[in-house]
Amino acid sequence: MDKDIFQYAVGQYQDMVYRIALHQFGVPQDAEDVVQEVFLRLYTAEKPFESGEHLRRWLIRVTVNVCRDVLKSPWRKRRVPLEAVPDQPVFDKPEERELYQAVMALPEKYRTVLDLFYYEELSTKEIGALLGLRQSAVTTRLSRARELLKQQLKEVRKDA
Amino acid sequence: MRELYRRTFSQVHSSTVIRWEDMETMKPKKRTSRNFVMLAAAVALLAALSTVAVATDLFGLRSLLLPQKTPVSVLDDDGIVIPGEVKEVDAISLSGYADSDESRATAEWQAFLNSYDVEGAAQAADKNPGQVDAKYSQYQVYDQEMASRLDEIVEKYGLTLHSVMAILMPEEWRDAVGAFALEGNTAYSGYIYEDGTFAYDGDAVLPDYGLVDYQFRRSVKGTFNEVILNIGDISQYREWVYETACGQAVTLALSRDKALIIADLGDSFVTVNVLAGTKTSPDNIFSSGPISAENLEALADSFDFTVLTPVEDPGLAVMAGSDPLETTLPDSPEEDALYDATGMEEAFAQSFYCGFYKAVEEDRREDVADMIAWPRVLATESGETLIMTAEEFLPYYDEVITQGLKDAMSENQYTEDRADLFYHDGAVGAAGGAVWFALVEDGKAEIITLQNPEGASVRYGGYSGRNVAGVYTDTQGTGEAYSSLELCDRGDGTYDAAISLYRLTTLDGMAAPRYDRSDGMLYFTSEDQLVEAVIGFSGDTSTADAAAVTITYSELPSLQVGDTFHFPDGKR
Repeated sequence: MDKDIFQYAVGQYQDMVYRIALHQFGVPQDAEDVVQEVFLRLYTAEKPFESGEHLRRWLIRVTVNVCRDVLKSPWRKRRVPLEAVPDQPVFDKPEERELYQAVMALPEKYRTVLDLFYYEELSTKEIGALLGLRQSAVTTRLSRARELLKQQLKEVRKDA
Repeated sequence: MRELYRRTFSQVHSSTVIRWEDMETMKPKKRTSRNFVMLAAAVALLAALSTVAVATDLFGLRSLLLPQKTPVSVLDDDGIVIPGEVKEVDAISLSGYADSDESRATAEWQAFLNSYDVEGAAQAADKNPGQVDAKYSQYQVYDQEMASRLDEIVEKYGLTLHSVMAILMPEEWRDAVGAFALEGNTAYSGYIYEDGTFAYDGDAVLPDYGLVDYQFRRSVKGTFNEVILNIGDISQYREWVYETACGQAVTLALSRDKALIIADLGDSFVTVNVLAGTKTSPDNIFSSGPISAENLEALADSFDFTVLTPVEDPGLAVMAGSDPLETTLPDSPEEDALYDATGMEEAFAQSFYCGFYKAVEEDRREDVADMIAWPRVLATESGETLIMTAEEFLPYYDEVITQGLKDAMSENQYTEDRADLFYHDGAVGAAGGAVWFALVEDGKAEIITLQNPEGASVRYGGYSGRNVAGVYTDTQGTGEAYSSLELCDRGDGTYDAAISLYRLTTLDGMAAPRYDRSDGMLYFTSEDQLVEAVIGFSGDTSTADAAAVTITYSELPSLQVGDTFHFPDGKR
């Protein structure tokens, strides 16, 4: 791996890798472990990247696969309840904090498709290929996730 | 939504410091055997629990023992099935004590299965789907004789059949059945039926011991279950009754190799298969080594059994999003039955099939070939050939799309735009069963089976669930293997794969079936994740003598998506 490309990838895509992993696990510590593993894989990857986009797609793909491996492992670290996570990000606006908490409260299968669709801007077909799901299953998860989010945000605002 | 989403998550940052200089010392260990063996063996054990689908004294193991011993495959030291080797073991019912209606029904069904050619029936059903009513879909029922026998048994003991199953993810157990797994005890993904019967793999951290893996099953009474558990030799178990921290009396049983927790909760019966015994090696991948009676009691204390009774409706109707079995879950009773069973609206299915019918009628051969899901095995009088693409099918077109097939299609058309359609196992049948099609992705259906009255057919590879391990070669007409595909059975339906392509490259990786597709193919991913491919086979277990690999994803310049490599020269 070329050092310049590696450093470019870290600067440009470390947060993206973290975001995807955070959506999978809902636990920052687990997501940070994935960040390290993904960039170790990049370091050992003996392959040319045609473009920044190629590199980005490769990193998304590897991140999803690393997360999948960790999720399958019985040695996976114990899950930490959201309330017990000390270092939640500080947001500019209350609605951003509400959205973050609502997303993190969703089951992981919904969180991941939300991130890949809304943030990483992948198509449902691309998400299906990445996650090993039929496109219809991705669409179902997306619409179910949106419904659940709406519901939770409505409840938060009602309580407030 | 997208804008708010992006704005919110753009404020989420990783705090890990990634430095080029640190990478060399942190190079990842090659993730091979430990994980692989662990996963393979875990799935093999789960498979044993699910498919062998078999515990002295009052309320002890002997009161659960099935009347007849059960034949099981012999495993080698690595937990891999040794082909052809079978031994008879003691097996217990997971549905209740031996004198219960549920267990007697299970015993009778097992006796029937042991005397029946289940494998033969399964193979016949693969070739000719749609012969058995969908109500038996949760059981090993492949033909009408098996269906009739199951009906007799269920009626005799006054039981009902499972109708719907859903996969649950770890975070969904609490909502579905309650917080029964206490601190330090984790329920991973598993499955649940409409009556609340469920099973999953879990692990627990025990004080002064460490981590131990286990398999949990709750069988709700009144429903028929065919699952049984192989317990080895019953005389090797020490048993005692223990009252758990939640106040539930359970039977604990401990042997050299495994341990059991058994609880009769009145309306359901719980069995916990603990993957450790008194002589388990400290290197064992499912546990932290030998387990003591105190450890087993601590594990029993980590369940709150009182949460599990009375059994509550898990509300499968609202779990319709659970993939991959979501198409088996009805959203509401009013919905179209065809849609529930296949994911296709009636109008969509009619439109797709009539399009196919017209393409056949008008002899638009390329269109017809394009509507078939490839790869497929072509079976004709002259033998079986693996067809990987629509183009490869065209020379054989007339052998499959015969006048006999056209007549069968024609006879089953009500009008030009409407055909007599039916469904089974997620697929739609037409032309009296000569044509089957299914959804392959959102809004896209493909023909999965064609069979003409003369006996020729196009169907899936026939690999499903069978051992296709071996070395497939391409000798290019010489005595030497130019290219090869080597598959090593990992004992859980997946394979370590090595693909050597003459003058191109060599790929190492893993090949596994896609359970959401049931297409009989293996899906290969290289270790470096640069290449993905689909592997198809001709024949079944005994005749899987040819294979082909089609590249579906590649970051290597030497391999292009769509490249197909045939290994036609026998399996070694």
